[in-house]
Amino acid sequence: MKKVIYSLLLLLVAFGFQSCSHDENNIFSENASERIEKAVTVDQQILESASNGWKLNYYPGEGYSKGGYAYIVKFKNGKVTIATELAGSDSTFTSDYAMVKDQGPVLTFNTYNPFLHCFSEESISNIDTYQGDYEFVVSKATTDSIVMTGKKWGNKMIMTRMSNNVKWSVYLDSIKNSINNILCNLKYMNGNDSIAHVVLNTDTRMATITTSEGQSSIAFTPTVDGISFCEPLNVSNSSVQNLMWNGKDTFLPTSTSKASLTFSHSAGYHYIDEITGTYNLYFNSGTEYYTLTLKPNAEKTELIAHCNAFPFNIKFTYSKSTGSMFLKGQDIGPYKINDVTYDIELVPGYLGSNPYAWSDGYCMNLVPVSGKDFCYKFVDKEKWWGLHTDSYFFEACLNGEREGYILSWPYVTYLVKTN
Amino acid sequence: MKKYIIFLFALILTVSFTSCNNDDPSSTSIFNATTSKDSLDLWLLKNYTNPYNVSFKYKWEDIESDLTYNLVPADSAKAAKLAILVKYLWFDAYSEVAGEDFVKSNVPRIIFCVGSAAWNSDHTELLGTAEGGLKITLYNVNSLTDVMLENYSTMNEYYFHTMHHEFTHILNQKKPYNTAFNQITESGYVSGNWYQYGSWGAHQAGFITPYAMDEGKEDFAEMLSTYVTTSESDWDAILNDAGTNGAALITEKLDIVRSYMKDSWNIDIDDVRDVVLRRASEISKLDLNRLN
Repeated sequence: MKKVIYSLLLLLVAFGFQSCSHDENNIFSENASERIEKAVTVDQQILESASNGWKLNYYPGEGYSKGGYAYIVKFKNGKVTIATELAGSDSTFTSDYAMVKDQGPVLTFNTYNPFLHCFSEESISNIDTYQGDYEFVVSKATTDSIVMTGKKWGNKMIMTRMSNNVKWSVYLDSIKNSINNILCNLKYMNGNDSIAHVVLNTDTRMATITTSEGQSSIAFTPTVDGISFCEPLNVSNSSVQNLMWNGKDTFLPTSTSKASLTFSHSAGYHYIDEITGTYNLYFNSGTEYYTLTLKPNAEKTELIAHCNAFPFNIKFTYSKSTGSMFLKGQDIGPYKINDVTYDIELVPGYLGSNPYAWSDGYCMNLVPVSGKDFCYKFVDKEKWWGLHTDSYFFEACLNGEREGYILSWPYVTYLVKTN
Repeated sequence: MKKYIIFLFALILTVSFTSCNNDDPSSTSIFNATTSKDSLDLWLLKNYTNPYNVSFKYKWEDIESDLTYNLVPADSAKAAKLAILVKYLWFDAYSEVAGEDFVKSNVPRIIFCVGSAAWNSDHTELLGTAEGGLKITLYNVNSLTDVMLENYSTMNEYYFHTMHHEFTHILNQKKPYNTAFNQITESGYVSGNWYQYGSWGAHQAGFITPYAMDEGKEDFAEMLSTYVTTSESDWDAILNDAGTNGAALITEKLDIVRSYMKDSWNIDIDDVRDVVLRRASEISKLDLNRLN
């Protein structure tokens, strides 16, 4: 028995000595809490050091599923000032921010800023929100860029320093301009080989990539001179992330990648500047016509049509992806008849035994006639509950009520360029 | 001899255990106390933290929030207005009736502001929560528009009623109420299905609001919070709406609420109601845009 106790004691003594061997070398000279404290302080100093703020391509949606948007954020004395291409170029909104110790150093936008938190707001119809993050784990911070990952939805985003001589509104204007000018229907070119079809949706900011193997999608953000994908877009061994629009028909890579995105022409496609000109609009089954002059608006999204025969302008909507136009129902503006000012609405409708007009927004198809450039045929869009469209009416409205039409284009047929 | 050996062993053991003891704590604090304070932070310090030991948290802290919802932070300007209103209509009101010490010892230690509403999957809206008597969360702070500030009944529904409701939970957590209360309308509690009922149906069944049909403790909190934020004529209108049976049940429950407040806290709920309503009528005179 005593032997057992002795050996037990001996063992304990051995343990005791063992515990003193100082073989735990610290890998870092400071302990963990000191290091994170330091990281937080340093990160905050870096954030505030950018006197003209940081550019941020913001990606809501888990797994980059809800597009990308261009932001500018500036940090100063615990406040953050935000501007975005989604708001007016001159608008900014200031709220609070903090660098805190959490899952590593975390940048939190901790009071409400509508420009940022709009993607995180829950509503009765959208309980899942747009899955936007407003708390970010900062993994790397240098004076040029901050790499961070959304805490809740997990998207990695990068803030890059904005140079001091760039005015925010100019930057945002050029982004808005850039998104208006790009063409959306593209071929993915690897050198001279077309290997995929790419459609950019400028509303959802998602690109759909179709290859022989199938379809995938990827988020992109418009930049001042083109677009940037949320991560490198890979199509069969070819890869590209940042692209520059050449002003006419192609996105060129900003890196050494061989990939480019070239506009994919379809038959009858025309750029808006080519469509510009004088047209005859035939109606009454082609027996009569008006002469219209079409000019693009500044954003190149619409063609403004002027006709000497009547005192108001009409807008044709231009589609960048199909290279053609259509005539939607629309508000034309005020017009005086016998001292009463009416609001004039252009509406498509049906002139049969029982004439009626559709609400605005609806339209007839305007289909390019094959083999004849700049010749478009008005086509009944579809039988919707058995109802047709064949004419356009200029309805006079008073206090929101339609009083009757002051002019019509009965049985419209063709729109043909004459000059 | 053997004893000595054992002593020797014991000595060596003791020495060997203490020998490692050279881990003095580092003198550097890990808490950074140098956060900058703006005028709202200073106002809150002066009006909440110093007198009541309450932290009015208007800046987002995810550990304070309920992670099951998708929430956004409060707008700082609106949180400032709410901070003024909460103090005026709640802290100061109870202080007037029951004395400062009552407020100091019973109000939650944390008031946490959330900008958005919290929507449940059944499309009901969470307006507030009280946790363990320590914390009250007020949601929907960003809806506090100037238009809403002029409308007492909406303000009441979203914020004032909510804070009295949650405060009732805290009082109940500290001193339980007579469980005879739960038995008065015991068969009427429908738990999560309360949102399917309308006000009239709830009144008829002897409940002051549909939410009161959730369970006994919610019923109790709804009774008190509705009573102290509703004028006598509006209360009578509810009783009228409830019919003879419903009104009798509501009144029976109110008697328990009344005696609970009197016996447990020495507070007359009619006094609370008078003060709350008087102060509510004065909120248009408060300058919510200035912190002083």
